[in-house]
Amino acid sequence: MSKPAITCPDGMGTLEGASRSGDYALSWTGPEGAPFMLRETDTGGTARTLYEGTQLASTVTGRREGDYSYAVGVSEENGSVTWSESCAVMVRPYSLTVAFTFFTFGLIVTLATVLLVVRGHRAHRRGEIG
Amino acid sequence: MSGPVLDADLGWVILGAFSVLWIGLGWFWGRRGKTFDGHMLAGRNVGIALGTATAMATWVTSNTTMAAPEVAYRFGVWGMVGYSLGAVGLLLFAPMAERIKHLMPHGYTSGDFVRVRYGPVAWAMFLLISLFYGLGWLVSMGMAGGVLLQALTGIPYHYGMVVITLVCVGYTLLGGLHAVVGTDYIQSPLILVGLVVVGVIAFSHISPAEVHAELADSRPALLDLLMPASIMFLFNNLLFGLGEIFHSNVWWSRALAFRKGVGFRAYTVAGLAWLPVPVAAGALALLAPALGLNVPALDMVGPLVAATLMGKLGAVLIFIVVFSSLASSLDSLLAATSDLLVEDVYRRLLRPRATGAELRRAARIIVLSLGIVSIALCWPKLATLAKVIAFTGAFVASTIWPIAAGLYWENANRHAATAGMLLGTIAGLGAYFTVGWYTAALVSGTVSMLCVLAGRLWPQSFAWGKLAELREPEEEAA
Repeated sequence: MSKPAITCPDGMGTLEGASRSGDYALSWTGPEGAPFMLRETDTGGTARTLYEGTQLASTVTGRREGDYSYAVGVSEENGSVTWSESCAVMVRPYSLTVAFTFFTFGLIVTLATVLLVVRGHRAHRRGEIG
Repeated sequence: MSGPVLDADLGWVILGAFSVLWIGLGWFWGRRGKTFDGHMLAGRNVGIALGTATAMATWVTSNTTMAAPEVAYRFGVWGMVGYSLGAVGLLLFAPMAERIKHLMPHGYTSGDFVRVRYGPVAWAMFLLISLFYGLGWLVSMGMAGGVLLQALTGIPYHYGMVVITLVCVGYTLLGGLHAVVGTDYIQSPLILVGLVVVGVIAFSHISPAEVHAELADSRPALLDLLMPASIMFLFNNLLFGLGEIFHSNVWWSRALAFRKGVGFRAYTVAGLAWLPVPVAAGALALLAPALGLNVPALDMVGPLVAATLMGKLGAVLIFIVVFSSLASSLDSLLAATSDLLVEDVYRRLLRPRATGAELRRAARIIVLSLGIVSIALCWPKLATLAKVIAFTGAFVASTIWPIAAGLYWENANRHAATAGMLLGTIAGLGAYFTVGWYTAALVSGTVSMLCVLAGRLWPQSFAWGKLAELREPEEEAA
């Protein structure tokens, strides 16, 4: 049986292109209709099977900071598994300082907008503006 | 789950039945819109019940029923909360709707307001933003239709996308805003009851404790309240919602179509009713890991979970809910974008003396053209729903402050408003491509607000009476 091949998102295996939100899509190719196994190995070397079935894509979400590698395998008739080459994804979330900076700006703009509309509405109801 | 739950034949039957229903109702209600004003604004006489239903149903878009699960699956708990903050847009628009009706009782579009309030340069900028957003929203909904049918029935994406778009084009063509509001009235309870039933059935199959344990094991960041991307997303989504509602003619046309005194109450009730919808829709996505469900594409997660848990019944229910939400938004957007093009481009720029009949004909041609353009743009399916929608956030959030300040501040500076839209959009796009798609609206709204506030240093007075002088086409031509 031919060897499967897995594709990780472009550039996510490097620090520059690392995933900031811990979610990404994986896809693979292999013998048509074959049962595939998608395996993830995390920074600590722990491996887990994420999917077993005939579909050719999967989305990964909710990953914390770390380096992950993925491989897809196809079960042979004799019970062995032929694995693809692995591909890598780095997850590097923004720091909390950056996150809360955005949060603070969002909060300020929201409160200012609420203030503008509420004060404007009161002035409108009182007939203070045209 | 290895394939679609429903047979393609059953999918076509449901699609056909609802298509006939919507188009039939469009034809039935459309008979009432004899004049241009009646066709575009339902005679400016929509009451509280229809008004609330149309506001609620239109805001429960495919973006809510399909992208809310996607966002919850990406950002976890904050994703759901962030999405539900979109209700703030409706709640804040409630007082603005009253002001709009007061200032321009005979006006037609949000473009009318910006043209008179800020002048031609701001108007051109606003039209570009609004039309770009309209197309983005149309594309996201056409895509949602195709994705939904493919996930549930195996009907190829392109077939589903084309059929759903054409059905909405069909009944909007026939019925104008009468049909849009009327079908919304039926679609609202379908959406709400359907979501409640799906939620109850889903959580009776699998307990919250099991869901939590599986998420903690396999996707821990989704439970993390300090997940940086989700913290950044929270206010981004709120500001995106404000931008969408404040500027879009979808909401302005309703404010103008509602009977006097209805707008404030209708938008307030609709906002409160909408608040829990994204949480209910988003919670479904968090069940996926506990079900051991593979999600090939993020925007399929909601329908896939419902169909897996509830089999054919769930698939049919979610099909009806999403199809109703799609139709209620797609028709509104087609009608409102067509109004904008007819009033602001065709009448103001090309044929100032056009009669009501000519304008109605132009409106129909534009609705049909928008449908065709939307299908063409949906065809390649370039990104997921949430990313398509978020891209337009960079544009619309830049209009929040120019619109709100323009409605309430007599001395808002028109150059500052124009600069706010331009610089806000540029900054938002920069953030989209460099920081993350979940920051585009936040950055755009912030930069725009700073521009408008800076304009306070150079106040320009405005006579509110100019807005009241806007007249209906027949009157103006006479």
